[in-house]
Amino acid sequence: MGRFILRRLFFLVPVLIGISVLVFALVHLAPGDPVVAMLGIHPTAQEATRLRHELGLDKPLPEQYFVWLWRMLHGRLGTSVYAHQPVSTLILQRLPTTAELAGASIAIAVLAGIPLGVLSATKRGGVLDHAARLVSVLGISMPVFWLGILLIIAFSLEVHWFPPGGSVAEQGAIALVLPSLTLGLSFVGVVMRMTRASMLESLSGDYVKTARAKGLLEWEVHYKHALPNALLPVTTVIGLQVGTLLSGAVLTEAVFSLPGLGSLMADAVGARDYPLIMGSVLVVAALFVLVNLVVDVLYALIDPRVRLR
Amino acid sequence: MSSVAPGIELSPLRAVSPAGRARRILHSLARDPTSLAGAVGVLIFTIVAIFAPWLTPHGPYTTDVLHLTQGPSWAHPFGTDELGRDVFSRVIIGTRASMLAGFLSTAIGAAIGTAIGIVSGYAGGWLDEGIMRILDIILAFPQVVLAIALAATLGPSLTNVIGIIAFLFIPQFARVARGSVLVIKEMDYITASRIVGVSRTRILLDHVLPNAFGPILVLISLSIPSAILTEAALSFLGVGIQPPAPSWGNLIADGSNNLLINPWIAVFPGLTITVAVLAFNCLGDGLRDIFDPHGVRK
Repeated sequence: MGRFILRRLFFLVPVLIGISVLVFALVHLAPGDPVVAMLGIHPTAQEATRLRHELGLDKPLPEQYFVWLWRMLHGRLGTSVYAHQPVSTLILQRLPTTAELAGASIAIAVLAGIPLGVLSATKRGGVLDHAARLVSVLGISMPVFWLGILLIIAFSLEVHWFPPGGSVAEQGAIALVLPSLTLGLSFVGVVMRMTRASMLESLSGDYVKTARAKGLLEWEVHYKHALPNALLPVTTVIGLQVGTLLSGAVLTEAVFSLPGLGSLMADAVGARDYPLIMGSVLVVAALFVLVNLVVDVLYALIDPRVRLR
Repeated sequence: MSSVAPGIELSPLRAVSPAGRARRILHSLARDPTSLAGAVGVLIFTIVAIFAPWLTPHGPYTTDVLHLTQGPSWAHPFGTDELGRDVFSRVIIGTRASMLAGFLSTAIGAAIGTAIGIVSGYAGGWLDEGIMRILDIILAFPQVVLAIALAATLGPSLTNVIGIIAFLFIPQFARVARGSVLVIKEMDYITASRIVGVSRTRILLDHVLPNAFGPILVLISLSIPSAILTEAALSFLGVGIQPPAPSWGNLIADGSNNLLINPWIAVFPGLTITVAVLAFNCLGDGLRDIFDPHGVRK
């Protein structure tokens, strides 16, 4: 188990380096000259040269990259042009909200998706199966930001059950209800489909025939034998969906004005605040890679066969 | 040569010709009502996209100050926006941008990705490892997050959106193509071809590429709806197609600014996206059933 984790950590390093190179390249491709931004449209040649030297912009690109990387690794992600605050401060302020949103959404997707998937598989071909599959395919077809808007119209504007936006600090936990429902519902289809497919495969196994032959009740066959085996691929799928979830969080937070990392990125993009854009992209990508690693390790813990690969 | 009816001839090799294969695919699709509905939906949206300017009842840029932010009516089935423009006409014109983004980005991504995957898989060794690690870096980013960063950097336009989405698709197509190649590479008839002296290019084009066709086609059918959703998301956030040019995404953004006055402006473009993506997903599911090696039908 230890060797498996070490191997995965070893391959993590080049990926993280690669991410940093890509973000650095994007920083340099971004339009606008920082010297012009600081000194005005027509700086004198001397002022421009002096500032470029101070900022290290006259050094060769590889050297600039290492200086930048060194700063990143020490948490110095730059300063937001519009908020005039360190990027790292802004990100740390917003991270808890996004974590809460992601956690609540996954909980909704799993709590709704797994039972629906099991029912869909055990009552295959029935009305419930068709209805569940329709809900699932609608979930992956609807733009997540549009679903959010629909929920605002229905539950905020028509009946004033939930606020249309705002932070948990101002409104309490109720501010998370519609956003997590939005993100969770867009994700429930995937969980349901995977559970259904996995459960069907599980139920066709020989051990299920044996269980039935032994005289076990149908619910025992489904829930004590078939389901635990069916859950393994579902766990992988949930892990694979983390990227989609993060992408969905950006859009959901933008719709509900939830002050999370996603809306920070959306606002930064709208304001073309490049230090903030690149800092938050780097952090999100690094988090994503780490979360995938954790999911892989958890999966290896659950299914020992994975460790042998 | 034998005949089953006057004018129809049956040749034993007929089933392996591209036309024969296409016919078999269409026949299988027609048997499943969901796939058929999906195929019809895709066809309708494609036709609307091609003939969009001729299908709009009002000009998509024509303002009407007497009818601002109105709900649905006979004159304006989807209502009007805050400048009095007909939302239905704007949705129809937006179909062109969204479908173009969907098809073109997928085509470019599929072409480049498949080529990279086939070369990488066939070459093997360090080249294969190196290419796959570079592609892993692109896959290491959540898709929309990377798309946003690229769009903010390169500037908002339809061309950039198509390029960005194509770029995001390259690793997925490369992986699928490479997977097919790795399977076929070890087969006896490939080894035999190599021994006999058939050139690598010939082997790749005549044997490897046709066998990778199935999984690639399935991925294409799943990528087009993903591209449409990504373009809509980018336009919604303001880094995709810029107003006044209509796109389904920026129409929803317009609508979200007017929810209290007239929520319909946001509802209809989103409904259109959902129906379009649903059609592609149903068609994609049908194609997956055909090309699924286990032949499992839902």
